[in-house]
Amino acid sequence: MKRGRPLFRWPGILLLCAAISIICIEAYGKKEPLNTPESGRPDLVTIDTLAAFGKLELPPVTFFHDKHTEALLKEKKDCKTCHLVEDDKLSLTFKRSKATRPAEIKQIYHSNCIGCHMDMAAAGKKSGPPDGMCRSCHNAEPKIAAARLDVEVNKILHFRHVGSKSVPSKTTDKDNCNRCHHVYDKEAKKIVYVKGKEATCGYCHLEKQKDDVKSLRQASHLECVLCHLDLANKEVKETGPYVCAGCHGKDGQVLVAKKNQEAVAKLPDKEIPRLKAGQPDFALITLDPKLESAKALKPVLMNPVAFDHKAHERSNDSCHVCHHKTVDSCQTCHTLLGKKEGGSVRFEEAMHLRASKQSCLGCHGEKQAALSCAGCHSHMDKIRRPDDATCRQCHMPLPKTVLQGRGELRDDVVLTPKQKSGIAEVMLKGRNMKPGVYAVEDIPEKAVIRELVDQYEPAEMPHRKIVLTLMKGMKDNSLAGYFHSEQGTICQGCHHNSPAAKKPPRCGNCHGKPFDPRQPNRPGLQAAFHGECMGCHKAIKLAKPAATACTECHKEKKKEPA
Amino acid sequence: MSTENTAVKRTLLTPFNIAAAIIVLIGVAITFLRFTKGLAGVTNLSDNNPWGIWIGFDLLCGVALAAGGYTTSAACYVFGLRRYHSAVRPAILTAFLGYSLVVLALHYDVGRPWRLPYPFFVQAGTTSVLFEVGLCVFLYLITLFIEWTPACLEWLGYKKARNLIVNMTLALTIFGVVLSTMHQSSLGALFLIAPSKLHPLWYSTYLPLFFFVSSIAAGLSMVIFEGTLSHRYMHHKMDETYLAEHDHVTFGFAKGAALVLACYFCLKVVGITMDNNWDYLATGFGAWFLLELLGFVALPCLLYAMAVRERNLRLIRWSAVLTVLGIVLNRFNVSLVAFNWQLPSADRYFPSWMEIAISIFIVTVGLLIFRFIASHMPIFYEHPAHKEHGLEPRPDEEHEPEFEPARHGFGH
Amino acid sequence: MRRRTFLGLLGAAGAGIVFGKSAHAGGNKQFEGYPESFGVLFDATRCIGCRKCEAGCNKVNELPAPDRPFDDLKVLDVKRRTHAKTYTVVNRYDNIPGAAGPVYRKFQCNHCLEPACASACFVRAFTKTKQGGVIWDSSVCVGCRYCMIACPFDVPTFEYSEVLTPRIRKCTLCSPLITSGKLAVPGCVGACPNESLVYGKRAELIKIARERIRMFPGRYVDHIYGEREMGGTNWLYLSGVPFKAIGMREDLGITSAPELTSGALATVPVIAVTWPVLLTGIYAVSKRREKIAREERLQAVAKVEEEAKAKLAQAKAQAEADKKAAVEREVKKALEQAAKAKTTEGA
Repeated sequence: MKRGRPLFRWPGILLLCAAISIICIEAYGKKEPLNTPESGRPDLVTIDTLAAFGKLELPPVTFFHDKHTEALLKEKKDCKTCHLVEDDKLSLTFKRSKATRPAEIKQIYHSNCIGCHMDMAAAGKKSGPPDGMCRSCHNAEPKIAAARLDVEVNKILHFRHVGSKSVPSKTTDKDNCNRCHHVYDKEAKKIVYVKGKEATCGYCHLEKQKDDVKSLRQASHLECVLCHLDLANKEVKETGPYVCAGCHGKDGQVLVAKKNQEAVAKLPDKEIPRLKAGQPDFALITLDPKLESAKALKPVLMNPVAFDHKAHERSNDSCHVCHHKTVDSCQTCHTLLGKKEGGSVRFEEAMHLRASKQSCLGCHGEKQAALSCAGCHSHMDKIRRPDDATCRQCHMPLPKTVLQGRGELRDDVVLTPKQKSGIAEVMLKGRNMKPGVYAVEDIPEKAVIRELVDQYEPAEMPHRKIVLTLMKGMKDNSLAGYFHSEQGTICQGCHHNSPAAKKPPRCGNCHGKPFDPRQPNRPGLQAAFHGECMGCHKAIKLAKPAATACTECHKEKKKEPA
Repeated sequence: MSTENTAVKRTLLTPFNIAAAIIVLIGVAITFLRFTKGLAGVTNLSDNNPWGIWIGFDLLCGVALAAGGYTTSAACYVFGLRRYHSAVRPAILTAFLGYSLVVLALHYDVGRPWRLPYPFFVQAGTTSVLFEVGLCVFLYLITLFIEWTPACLEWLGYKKARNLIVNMTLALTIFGVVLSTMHQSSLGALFLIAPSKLHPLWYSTYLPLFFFVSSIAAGLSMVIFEGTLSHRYMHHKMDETYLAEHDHVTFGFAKGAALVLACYFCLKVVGITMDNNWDYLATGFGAWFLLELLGFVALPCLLYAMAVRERNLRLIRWSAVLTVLGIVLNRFNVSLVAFNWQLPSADRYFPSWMEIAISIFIVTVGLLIFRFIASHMPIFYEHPAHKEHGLEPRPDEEHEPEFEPARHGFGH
Repeated sequence: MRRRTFLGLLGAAGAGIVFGKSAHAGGNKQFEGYPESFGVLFDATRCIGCRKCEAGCNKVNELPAPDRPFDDLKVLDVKRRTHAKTYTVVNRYDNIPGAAGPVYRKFQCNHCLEPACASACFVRAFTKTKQGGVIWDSSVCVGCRYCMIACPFDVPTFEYSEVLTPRIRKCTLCSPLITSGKLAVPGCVGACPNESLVYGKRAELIKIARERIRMFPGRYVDHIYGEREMGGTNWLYLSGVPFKAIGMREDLGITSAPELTSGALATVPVIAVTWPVLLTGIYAVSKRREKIAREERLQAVAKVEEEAKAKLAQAKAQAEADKKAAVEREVKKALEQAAKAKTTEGA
């Protein structure tokens, strides 16, 4: 075998590799994906500026902003160490105002970050990664993720700013709205303040930057954080947070909430003054005859909805809960037949769509998820059409004084906003907003459930106690009160699918044997009892009685002696 | 006289015999345990892992490695490659013993072994691939037995019966190839029913094809391997024909094995491609799969090819060992390693020492029986009474001139 | 030449298998299930993990008493599977994102429309009854446990500790008890206090499930598990959290198990028919070539023989001629000599 030996080399090497593989590589079962970070910090900024220029060579840098501000503070250095000043304002970008080329940006980051780290290390202080340890910053699998809580400027936070002496008005105007609110003047190509057009930042500043309009993140940081920083530098005692965790961290938000509560406690009546945006106290929600789509219709109006705007302001945290895109009337975008600006959502849908957060029914539905409501409302199906009486609680007839003939508007009535407000006020007066129930004597104290007694004694349900607890849960809630003002309504939470009455039907009237093929989705009597009771307890997160603790509701039947 | 006795004594107490005796004793003891304490007392089988090495090794590997029977007899009788003739009987014997031991192992594994004939005689589950495996194995075992009987009958001296069976050789061979194709591929098809339990790199709709093609390679390699062992330990039983043809058989089968392994390698690649499973190759299981494919399919293929070109018998023999190990590895992977791959490692199966002992026991029993039969019956040599003539001269042989040697006679 | 033929035909055979691999015996037929088939709908949003279903099953099937009583809820701290003494277990799943509390799931045979176990059993020990349950017949079972390999849900259990009569154990949907009239609904369904389990016709249960999803869109994952999985099962599941989170595999696909092997099985009779023809053909061809080779050899030998004969004859003739010529020469010589001698004498 002349050429044998060299030929053995390669198979030998292959075999050796195979042998090593057997020892080293263990074929485990399917692994869970990596990348489940162990904790989250609100100040984690992912620096991926170069991603805009193409594929990144190394993973983006995980940068902890608060860590650096703390460290600089110890050195008595401030934000200008990293952020340049342009137009009297700090630039939000790192050490640059107008660098556009990727090589330039990379050089700025590397020389400044690593340079500072090296300087600190040379001075003997604790510092970040030095030159050469690329992956310490360009971390592919960071163990810490960004955990930022959203910031909401609700009405109390807004009020604190409005009433703050540290936020003076920029003009001679008494109100300091012009400090933050502005609009964009397209002709002058700059932002100006227009009185009466103050609105939520988020209406124009969207999630991502669009042309010249900064993203919400950039805009809010420029306005809020820089102002807070300014005040802090001027040594104002009470100023807002300017570190990441102060607004976005859990502890920071707890502190803000505490301060909000303290501010509310100081107010007379503990009531936050209304925003001064020229909004009406009452509104009549009806098809606006002035608007294009309604022109063709004769002004015979169906029962409109009289809307207590003032009360709704009180019970919501901010305007944009309902006014999600603009403070103008909903019908500007949500017309009768739907418009592109409104996402083709028609007016009727905008008012009634249950899946939406902004619609009337949608918002009311969300409120029904509260613990004091969920017991009954969680097991009411979402597709059922409300009965007419419920519709009429909102859609009330116009006062006879403005009507003529067969319900048409009087010819001389012109529906200006002020007129509508007045009509609405009239319609809303005298409504019963308190929850109603039958007299206590008429509510059975105990409901003894004797049907199906077999393994257990009859269940003695504390009926009156439950009803009164439900009533208590609605005490200060005008939404609940208004819709449960009729006496028999609250009973229908359990005594369902039947007309409201002082003597509602027994469960056994409708629920019989299980698995009846004629009533496929109707539970049998035992499951009706258990499903109703256990379902309610689960929805209101009642710990006791536990669903599996049978004897807490019905005692075990003692075995009869033989 | 006394020298003869001591000679006999010495030959009985060889290391192999002692080891075999120990193994057999342990095996018998565990058999007793198996049939008094049930499967729970002897195996590590569980509800999640119903099949262990008694199926994975004894059944799957046993059947694959016994494929030498049909490949050799097909090569010799159907394809007319007459010079492999002397390899046929040993291959048939290996196959016959292999399949018998498979059935023996089944008696250990199955819950009610006395009911093993039920699918054929009581109630047939014809929707089941296992039924098809069972039926084919059953029929093939009978076929192999019949194909083996001429050796036994020659030893016993029953000429007429022997000649009768030898006449049926072609029919038996064809029947054997048909049955073997079906059950070798069906053993792979057994796992088609559980795609959710078998790792995607091993699961494919081509599983039956993979098992069939690899069984051919396994058979050819086993014949080489068994020939090597027999040459070493049973040399004294081999006649001139066997010895003269032996190298030719080795080279010929090595060539065949190289080509079949190449075909199998390509089929496996096709299998991955059709299901687009390339990403799995980057995982731990992927590395294991590559080890099986590259180290135990591609490597022996290459080695075979090189060895044939270099006329290197030693390399061929080692390649045969590698191929056989590769087939064993593949069957283990499909039935034990890549099976239930998604279960957490606490729920995975590893055989108990008693299961391993029984498998070794069964193999040892096979070796002992093989040695007995090969030592006493005309397996490695042609029986003198049947050496010169085939049974019925072939029609065209009648006019053959005198100097044509009659060793290419038809029949065993 | 012959070796190449062998290998070439092998390749052809292989190719034949490849292309014939999806030969089903039957066109586009699909089994939609027996129309009167019953099933159970399990609603994971209702189950409270009380284990009364396990107790009910144990009672009606007269199973052996468990190690820990059924009202011991600490048992739910670990995940369990069924074993030879239980037909069903309930498992608890905690800390599922999006769920308010723990979610419970009952595990038992799913009674597939086209069961893998029934397809896999080589003695037809499993039957898909008209009632809907898949039941096992102990009178033919060999104990090969292929059903356990085949079941995608890992349901059948085996009595490994029994020596002579090990049985396969699994939920029967109380089919024998219901069919004989002893029970109206399966034991577990009857024991459930709040109808997390509903027994009814499978078609009806699907309608009920769809209605529940429609009525409470936020409550359920919009999928009825078992409607199409593995070709459809008679045990259906509704859940408020992803099914994967409660231990149910979502990657099983909708192909029923018998369909997975019917292709391979359909190839078998084809092999049984074509292989003998193919192999006999190869044999005949190889025999024919041998015969032709032998004839050619004989012919060549005959030709050489003839040539040799001719040469021999020629040589012989030549020898004859030579001999004749030599003789004539000698005779001539002798005559000449005689003549010469005569002339010398005469003078």
